[in-house]
Amino acid sequence: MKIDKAFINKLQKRDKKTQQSFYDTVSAKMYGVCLRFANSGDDANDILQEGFIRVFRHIDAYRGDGSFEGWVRRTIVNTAINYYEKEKKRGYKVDLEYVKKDYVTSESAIEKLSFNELLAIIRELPNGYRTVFNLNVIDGYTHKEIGAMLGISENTSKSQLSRARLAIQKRLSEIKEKENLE
Amino acid sequence: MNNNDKHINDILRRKFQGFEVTPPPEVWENIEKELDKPSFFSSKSGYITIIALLILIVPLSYFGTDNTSKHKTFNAQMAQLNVARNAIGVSAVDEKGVSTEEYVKPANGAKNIGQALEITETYKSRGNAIAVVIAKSVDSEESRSQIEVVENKGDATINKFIDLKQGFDISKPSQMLPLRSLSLSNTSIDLSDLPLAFDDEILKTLSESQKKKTFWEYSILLSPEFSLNDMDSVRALNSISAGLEPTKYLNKHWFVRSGINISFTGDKGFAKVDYISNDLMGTYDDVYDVTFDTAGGVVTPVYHTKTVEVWDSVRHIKVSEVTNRYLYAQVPVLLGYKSAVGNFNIYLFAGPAVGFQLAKWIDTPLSNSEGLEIINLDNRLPVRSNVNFQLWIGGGLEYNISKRYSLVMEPAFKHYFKSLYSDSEYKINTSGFALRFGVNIKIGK
Repeated sequence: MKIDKAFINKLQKRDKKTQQSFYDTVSAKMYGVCLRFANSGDDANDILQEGFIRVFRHIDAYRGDGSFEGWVRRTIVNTAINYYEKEKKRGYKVDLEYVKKDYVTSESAIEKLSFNELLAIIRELPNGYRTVFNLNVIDGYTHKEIGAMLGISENTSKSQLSRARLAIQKRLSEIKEKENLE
Repeated sequence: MNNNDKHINDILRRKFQGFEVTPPPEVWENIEKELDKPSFFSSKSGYITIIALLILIVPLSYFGTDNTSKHKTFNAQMAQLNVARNAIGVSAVDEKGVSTEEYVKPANGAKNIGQALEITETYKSRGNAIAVVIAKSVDSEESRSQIEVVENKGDATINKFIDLKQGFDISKPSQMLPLRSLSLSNTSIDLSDLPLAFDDEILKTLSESQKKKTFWEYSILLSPEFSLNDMDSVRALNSISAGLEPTKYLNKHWFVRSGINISFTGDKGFAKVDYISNDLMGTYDDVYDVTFDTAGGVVTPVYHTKTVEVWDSVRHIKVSEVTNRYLYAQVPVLLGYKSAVGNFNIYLFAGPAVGFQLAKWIDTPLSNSEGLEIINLDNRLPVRSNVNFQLWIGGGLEYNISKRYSLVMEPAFKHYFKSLYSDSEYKINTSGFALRFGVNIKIGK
């Protein structure tokens, strides 16, 4: 299916068949994004649902600058961020590491892990860490952009990423130790 | 970020970026259902907006109907007039070759009497045949109405213009009653005496309820409200409201008033915040290795360092002041009694009111400080209920600046029956004192 101007026009006219066709085309990719940001499968379903409703309802906001898929992806990411915004206001429940340890993570250890195993490690991260990690490491946003998106300072974004990375490395080390024992 | 981190990032990015998972089918079903719903009506605020609009529109439309009903009554009377005339045979007129234009012609002829007349209504009959034209003088400040009677005798048309008594208002249906009865009773009556009989005839035909003067008044009011209660650590802030309240006067003294007031209010209290500031405190060079070079028999140590960032990750506890703000729509239903004293009116009113929460802004402590990570937030400020019930008792002083407009000042006491707060720890009935200022606009008096 080709997503061209005519296709987007049909979407803007709320044509149901076009909406379904578009959903069928990009939902798998967007669900992958939701799974990364959510801390459970149910939350990912909710984020995908809410995100696509936003896309279809506010499609007139797309002005044709940049790729349409990029705009949809950004909308889904924003939905995911907002989804956990309330929880963020109540405060993260985080076991803080006061003493920074060095965990040595080999590249091969990560390579060996399946997507699901990696996803499970990322999901274990507190919401704030996970969001910054996803935005910076996977989606390639800068700390300045992340700061603007999440309403935090650049330094906080860096700090969250540093802690996220530490938590991932710690988890990988634990997995490795467990494997060695077995 | 060291090289190892960079490589790990690249691997993770590569692994995740192209990943696709087919979502469960129920997600699309839910999206379809949501898209089919009208979004406005699915929200609470949508319903509240509709209720608020209805509260505003219903009295307005009632007022609109009041005007329309005058026209309806007026037209109904004229319809009767036409029916009566038809009974005596408009068709017969046509058979005689007297066209409609000829009946309208006398109305144009009205201008011949030296006045510019605005023709407001034209009625045809046969009187030996009668046409009645009601015209109103437009070139004089004095309102002057005329009835034109056309008698059609054979081929000759006789026009009679009868000036109606001063003060006669054709827009008042009650004043048309004598005209109707005259028209119905005798088609060849000499109408020249008509104005003289008007007043008595009007009074005879009016019912008791028609004689009562009922009218609408619209009050536009601004009001600061001062809270009379404080609870422990919670301080109810003074509020400000603006409203439109239509008043229906049942008679000269008694009135019923309702409407809508939009009130902006709030509470001040405290919250305990447990947070990490995440401030970058500084950096230092950490020696992770030392090697030794020997040059010219001298051993020189080489320190290998890496820069370490130091972040403030210590938990802080702070008691912070918080302010929650709310927007309510208040709908009172008040019964009042008014009495005139010279150019002033004084009145008393009382009745229940209900408040619907339209919006709320719950304060987040330290929200202005960037980069804070709140570990635990214990907000001790209770949140207000979505609905509250009040009793209003008040009085008013009204100064008439013209027949239509007056200035008002209304001190009022408001008692909240139900606790303002949903939190069971704060079950207390609060009160407030409001001073309402505004303008009354009388319509239909």
